[in-house]
Amino acid sequence: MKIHDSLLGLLFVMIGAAILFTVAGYPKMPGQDVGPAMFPGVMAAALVVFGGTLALRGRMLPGSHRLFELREWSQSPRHILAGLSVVLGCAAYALFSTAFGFLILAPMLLFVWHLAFGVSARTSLVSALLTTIVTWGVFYKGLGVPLPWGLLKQYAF
Amino acid sequence: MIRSRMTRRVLLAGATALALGSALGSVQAQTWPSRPITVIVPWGAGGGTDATARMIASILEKQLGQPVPVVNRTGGSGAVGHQAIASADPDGYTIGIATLEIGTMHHQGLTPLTHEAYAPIGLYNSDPAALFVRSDSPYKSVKELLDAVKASADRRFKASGSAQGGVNHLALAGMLKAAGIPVTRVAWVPSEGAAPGLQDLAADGVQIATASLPEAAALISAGRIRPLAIFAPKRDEVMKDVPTFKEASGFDWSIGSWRGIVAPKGTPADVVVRLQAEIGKVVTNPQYLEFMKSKGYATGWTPGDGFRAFMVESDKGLGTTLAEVGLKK
Amino acid sequence: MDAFFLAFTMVFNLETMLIIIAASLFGLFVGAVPGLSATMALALLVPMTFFMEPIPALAAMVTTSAMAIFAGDIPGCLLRMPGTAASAAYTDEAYAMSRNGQADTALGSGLVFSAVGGLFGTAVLIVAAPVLAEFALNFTSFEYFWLILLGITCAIVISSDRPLKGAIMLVAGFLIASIGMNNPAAFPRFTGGNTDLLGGIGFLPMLIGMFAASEVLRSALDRSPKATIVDQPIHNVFKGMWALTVKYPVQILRGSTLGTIVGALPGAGSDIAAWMSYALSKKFSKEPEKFGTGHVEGIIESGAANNSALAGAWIPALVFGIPGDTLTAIVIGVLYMKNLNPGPTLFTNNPQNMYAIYILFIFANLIMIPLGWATIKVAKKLLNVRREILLPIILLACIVGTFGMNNSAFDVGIMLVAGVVAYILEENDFPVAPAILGVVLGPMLEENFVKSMIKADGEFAFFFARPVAGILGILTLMVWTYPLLRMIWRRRSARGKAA
Repeated sequence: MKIHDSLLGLLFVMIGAAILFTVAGYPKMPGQDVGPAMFPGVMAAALVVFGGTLALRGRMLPGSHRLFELREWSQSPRHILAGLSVVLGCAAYALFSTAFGFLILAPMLLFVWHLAFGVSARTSLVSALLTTIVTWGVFYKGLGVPLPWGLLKQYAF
Repeated sequence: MIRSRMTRRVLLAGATALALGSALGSVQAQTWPSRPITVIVPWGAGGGTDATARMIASILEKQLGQPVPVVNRTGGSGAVGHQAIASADPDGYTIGIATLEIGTMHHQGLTPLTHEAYAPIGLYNSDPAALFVRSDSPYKSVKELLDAVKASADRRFKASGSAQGGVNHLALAGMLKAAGIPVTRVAWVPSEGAAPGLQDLAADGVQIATASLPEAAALISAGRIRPLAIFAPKRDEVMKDVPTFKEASGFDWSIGSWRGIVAPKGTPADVVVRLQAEIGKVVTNPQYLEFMKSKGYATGWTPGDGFRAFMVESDKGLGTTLAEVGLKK
Repeated sequence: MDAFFLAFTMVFNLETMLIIIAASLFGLFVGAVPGLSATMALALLVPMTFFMEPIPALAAMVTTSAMAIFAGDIPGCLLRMPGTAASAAYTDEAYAMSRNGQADTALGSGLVFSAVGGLFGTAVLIVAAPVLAEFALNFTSFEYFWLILLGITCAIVISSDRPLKGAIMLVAGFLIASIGMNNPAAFPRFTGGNTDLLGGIGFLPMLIGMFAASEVLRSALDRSPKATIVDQPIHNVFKGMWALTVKYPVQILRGSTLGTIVGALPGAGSDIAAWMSYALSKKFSKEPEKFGTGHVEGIIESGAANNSALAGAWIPALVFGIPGDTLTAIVIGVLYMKNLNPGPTLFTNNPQNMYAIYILFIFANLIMIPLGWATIKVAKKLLNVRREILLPIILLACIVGTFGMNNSAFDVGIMLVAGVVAYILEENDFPVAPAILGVVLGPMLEENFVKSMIKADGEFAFFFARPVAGILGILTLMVWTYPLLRMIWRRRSARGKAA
């Protein structure tokens, strides 16, 4: 995904301005001349200056002036699908892992990812199950990471 | 009339819930612990809270035969971690370390959370704060220092040792207050924990620092800083030559940080009792005592109701001091 | 001496040894698989170290990074794809050697002289760090303030070819670091009332998102065809190494020295050290015309340089808590988690930990030789590893690693956002490393800034009042004006040419 410098620069200017606006209302520390607004304020001002410079330079420099351009993956449904599976899979884990539990969600996600990356169904299944078991062993049993049990809570071991 | 009936109904409902809860609880206690118990520490590196929590967890792990992972939830001057303990599932599988800040944060308006959000398990450590100057400082005693501060212009003296409103800030402010000096006379330079504050003192960035004796031990033995007094009713057992503030100045003031183990409110009563017994055993373990002694941390054990009474008292005292410093909201 | 003995027992016990072996294999594997970077190896390792004791955790970090930097030479040599950025400088040279049938010499010199450079850098670390630490004990917030500013500006202005975009990323890192209540005033900033944000954006989810998840996403969308392996038999990689040592002693020494210095400069790491050394080697060579055709001289010098830079980068990291590159930025994050706050007091409070770090460095560079040899033996199999199977596994490790720290699904969300944003920004030529420097250094910079402002009572001249602070301050201002001066100078010389 190629976004033109002038557009990105403008975006940074806007973010910086929004931050400056937000910190303007922050209080001072009791008994001190400085407060929580100072550091982000200075940095946001810098972001406005740098972003502005980037936008201006982008307009002045020769080269493509197309504001937005997708890379070659946008032509291939398989690659779009693979990319989507990565993003949606992570989001699914964040949302549902506590409810369903690691041992249910992880093999499902792994299986889908393998398929999306172009692995055969059989290899995907084997790898998904093996990886789940090994990850479980290393993180839960080995390192003591409390991975969620979810639906399997009553069978917890 | 209506009001009293309401109260009775509420009470009844409460009693039923309690009975139900304890019935469920006893079922739980028979199988508890059947999976790992997480210990939440509201502080990261730098202080001793994490170190002591890990020590306790490692011994508890052996006693219970279940993993006891320690999780640091830092940030917000302790507010984040204290909140995380309070809002964890009260099933006995999450406990945490509460520190003195549970009695200061709500006075400062940082969080509505107080010690009432917890079921107290036990207080295991309390270290008094102490007053330090650089080794080559012209002030040889508390009296000389206080006289100089009294005579100086506002903000000429700078002090450090903790965050704004942290225990060491309160130690300094309370000291000034006790000596009849306006609290604004000394400028507080906030630092993220005692270590950087003491380092700033050693490097001549500030003239005064407050911290506990174990936190300062390395710089004292390196001959870079000097303790003037300890804010406690009696002297330290290891550094016996450091006078108490009262001995040194005639004014009375004591304050210190403390650490205790708590569970979220609503944790089944019998699991709490089990935890009290198990951790009560941990704090008499020779390995634990050896560790605490090597680091210079005080040891002790005040379980259950005693711990609650202590927190109530601490909360009240800190509220008064914060109001005097002007940090109370 | 007691502390030294203690350090010895801390390193040479069964647990630490097992961790070192496992970390070595992990580092060699990730480094050797093309497209997986040394930074990614370290980022994935952090959640594991979180549950270890401090010394085993450091052991894992030291060995993984050293092994990954060396192993990056392997795909460079056989596929013309550098395994890590640090090998990029001499990838073409090594590939040319492989095609000439000299793959064993190229890999062998990469291995042997990596170890030599690493040991050299370690020696400098051992000598210089305590001296600097003694000096740093006299630093107040003023000196730290300038030192951090100087370090990060050097990282942006000098070592990057896109200083403006680097500066934007750095500032963005600072702003991300200021989210939450973790500031001197304990005031909740930019949280929008969300309790998850009170603690700020965690360093770890950012790191894993930016350096691991974004790589997975990039691979998912990558349509370029698979590179083919040079089919040359690899025999004894150690053959002729002694002859090379005798032939190029100056190059080895020069590469190691330059590498250590560049590594120790804040912001510049092994990749820059390797590029500079390669250029220097060519410049001073008796046969510069052979460079690029498969000549081993430059590989020796820059191979030594990139591994010595690794040790050199630990000097400012341990003494001041200021990272020399992305790898040490990660290490600093881990040191903080492990209660080993970097800074001069690390040397006075816990000398045994320092000794343990020295021992770890020496040991890691020594076992690199046999383990590296074994890796080269199986190199072709490693290069043929099916990445489409590996990537989903890495992605799960990203998620579980992020989740495990705080048990927070919110962190997984942060990781995902960081990964997607990092991918998009990298596609648009933004370097992402400065952002992680900003996240690590932000709280430290702010704390020292606020402290200094309070001490100075608002008088900016105070920032220059102490001698060391004054010198550092003036240096920083000079570096800031450097791009401006360069622009003026260029314009003037252009005008001169036109006239």
